[in-house]
Amino acid sequence: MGSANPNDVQPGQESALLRARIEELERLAEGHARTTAALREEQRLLDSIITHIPSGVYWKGRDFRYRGCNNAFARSAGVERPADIVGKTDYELAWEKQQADYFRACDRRVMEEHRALLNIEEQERQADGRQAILLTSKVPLLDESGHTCGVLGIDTDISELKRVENELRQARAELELRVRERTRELSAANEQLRHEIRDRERAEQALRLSEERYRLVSELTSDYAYSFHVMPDGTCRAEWLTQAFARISGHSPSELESGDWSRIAHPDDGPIIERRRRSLLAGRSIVSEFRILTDDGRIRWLRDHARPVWDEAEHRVLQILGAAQDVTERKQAEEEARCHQTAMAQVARLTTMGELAAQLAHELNQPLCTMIGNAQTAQRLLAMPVPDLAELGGALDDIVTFGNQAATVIRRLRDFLRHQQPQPVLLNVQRMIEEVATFIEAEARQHSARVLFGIADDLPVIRGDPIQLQQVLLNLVRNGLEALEPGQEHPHEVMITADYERSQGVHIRVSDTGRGLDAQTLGRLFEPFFTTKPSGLGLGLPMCRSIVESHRGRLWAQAGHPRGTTFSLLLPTVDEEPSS
Amino acid sequence: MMKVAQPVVYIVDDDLGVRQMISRMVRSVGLAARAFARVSEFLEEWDPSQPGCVVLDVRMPGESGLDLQDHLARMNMPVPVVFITGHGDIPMSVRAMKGGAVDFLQKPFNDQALLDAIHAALGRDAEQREMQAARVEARARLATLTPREREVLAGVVAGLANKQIASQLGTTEQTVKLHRGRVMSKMKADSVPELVILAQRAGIMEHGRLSGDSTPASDRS
Repeated sequence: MGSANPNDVQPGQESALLRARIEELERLAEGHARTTAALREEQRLLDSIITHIPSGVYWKGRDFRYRGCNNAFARSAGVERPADIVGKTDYELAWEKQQADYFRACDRRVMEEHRALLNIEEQERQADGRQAILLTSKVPLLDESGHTCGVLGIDTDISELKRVENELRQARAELELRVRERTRELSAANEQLRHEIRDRERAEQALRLSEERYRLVSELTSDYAYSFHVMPDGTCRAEWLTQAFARISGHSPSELESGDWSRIAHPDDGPIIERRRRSLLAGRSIVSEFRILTDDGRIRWLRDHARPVWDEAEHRVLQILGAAQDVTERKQAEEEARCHQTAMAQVARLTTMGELAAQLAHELNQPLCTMIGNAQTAQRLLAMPVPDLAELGGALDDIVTFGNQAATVIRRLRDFLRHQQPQPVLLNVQRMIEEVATFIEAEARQHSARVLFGIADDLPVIRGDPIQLQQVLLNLVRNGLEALEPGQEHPHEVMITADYERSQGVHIRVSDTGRGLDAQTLGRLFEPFFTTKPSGLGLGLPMCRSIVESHRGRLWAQAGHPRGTTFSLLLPTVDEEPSS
Repeated sequence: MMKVAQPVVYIVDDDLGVRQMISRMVRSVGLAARAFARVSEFLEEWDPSQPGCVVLDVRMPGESGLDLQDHLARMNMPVPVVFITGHGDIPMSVRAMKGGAVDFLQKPFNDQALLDAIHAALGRDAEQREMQAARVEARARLATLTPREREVLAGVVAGLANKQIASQLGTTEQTVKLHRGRVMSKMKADSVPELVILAQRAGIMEHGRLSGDSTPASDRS
């Protein structure tokens, strides 16, 4: 309802104005009501926010007394309702004095310095006794004129956050610890792996070295290895053959493709190769030594070890594995040693005989000289009117002493000869004579003579001591050479023949074309100490005869035709040897 | 006159029996014998001033008999050596004889052959010693001459006449005669030939003839 002014009365006019006024007032009232409602709504919203936010909100006046707070703060401050806090200071609330002092100091700073303190983390005992961690911000409250009239504080309980944060930190630390542990484990594992790798590398290195060594060895040594595949028809096919083969033989490995050693073997060693082949195909391992001819025609000696691989299913040898060694140097050394030994043995034998004779002559000559001298002195002493008996006795004593000494020499000689018993073996007469020939060659040249041979090729073997029989032959040939007359027209020859005479044995004849011997000399030739030579001892032929007789043979001499002398040596063969 | 010492037969042989036998044989003819097994032992004991001879085995261990012979020859000790040997080695015996051996006997030897050789060796030793003594005596007499007398002696030995010597020495014949008389008396020479022999022994002939007339002046005293 509106009021009307009676002075401006114009009924019509007056009511229109009034209506307009009323309308305006109604509009204003409506606007006001709307604004008030909006403000109220806004207030309500603000209160709700303040009430419900999880942080504690509070505000104080310049006198440090609380003017208000929200529920959350009221709870932590230990008052029942927010209204209960109005007019109180911090000293009247739940905190301890120390805390209250701190709050006061902060408040003062904010108000005096007109400056906000933001996000201060502080420990605070809550009203419920709980120790909380708060994140506090305090800002100055200003009045309309811009002067500080109080302080607004917001506390956010970050205990939970802190706890979580702590847990997180711990979790992280733990994690880090684990990571570190794991890292450690990993690095240990890593280290181990590295070790293993290193070991492996080392092993590989060793293997490489070993392979290198093997390769070197195979290249450098005189050995080579091979493997042959055996075909059903018994022929072979090379599977592999090491390098050394080519180096030793000078042949390319393809030349041995068929496994036929006889292609490169020395022709004389064919039987050995054949024996090796048969043995291997029969499944037996075999070690054989044979010669091969290199591509440039030299001879190499091989020592071959071969092993067949037997296959049960096929019931035959499928493969031949083997290794061969170049033993040429060894063989040559052996051969040289053998030749040398033979020569040495012969030289030693002859010098022994010569030296023995010289030694014997000397050892017998000294006591003989002593005995003769003493005997003659004794005779002289006896011829004196008054013989010196002491001197005479001395002379006789010495004759006895040195006579015995001479007898000892003879006894020793006899013992020595007894120890020279024959050592009989089966003998090839031809080879024995050939060896004598090699030894006598130089001497024959000295005599400008020829030594001729006529040896039957069907000679049976005999049993005898090769050294002693060669000694006999050498003696006979020597005698023959010495019997030759230098400067004479007729040929200077010594002939050695050997024939087999049934039911007699092997007959060896040594004939010379020398001056010959008369019947009387021929008859005495084998008597000890009978000699026709100026420097001879007369022991050679008797010793020869005694050797021959110890072999159950015979040795005799007769005049040669047309000239010279022939010595005959008859040795029984193994079959004709009379049993004893 | 020199004192006559008993000669010693030295025997060097490494064979004991032979050594004893030769010693005994030597003693049986009344000679002194000293035996050694080695050349070195002999050299230690040997007194060269004593007359004697050596019976030596030519081939012994160590120093051989021939080496000893060479050794003695080098030392100018002409001791006569009789060689004995067990080996009939001709080149060796030739060498021994050339080296001045008295004989070379092969073992076993006849006792008389060895004793003859030993006596021959001792005879040669005595001769050598006598000659040596005469040489010493002649030198002693020569040493008593004055330089001028030596010059005169050289002239006489060269067969110069007193006159020739006087003209060479730049003096008178009379003075030379005087010197010559003193030379004869000091050299104890009864004749010029004797003087020449003494001068020869004393070694004056080594200086050779003096220059001038070479006419012999044997009895122009």
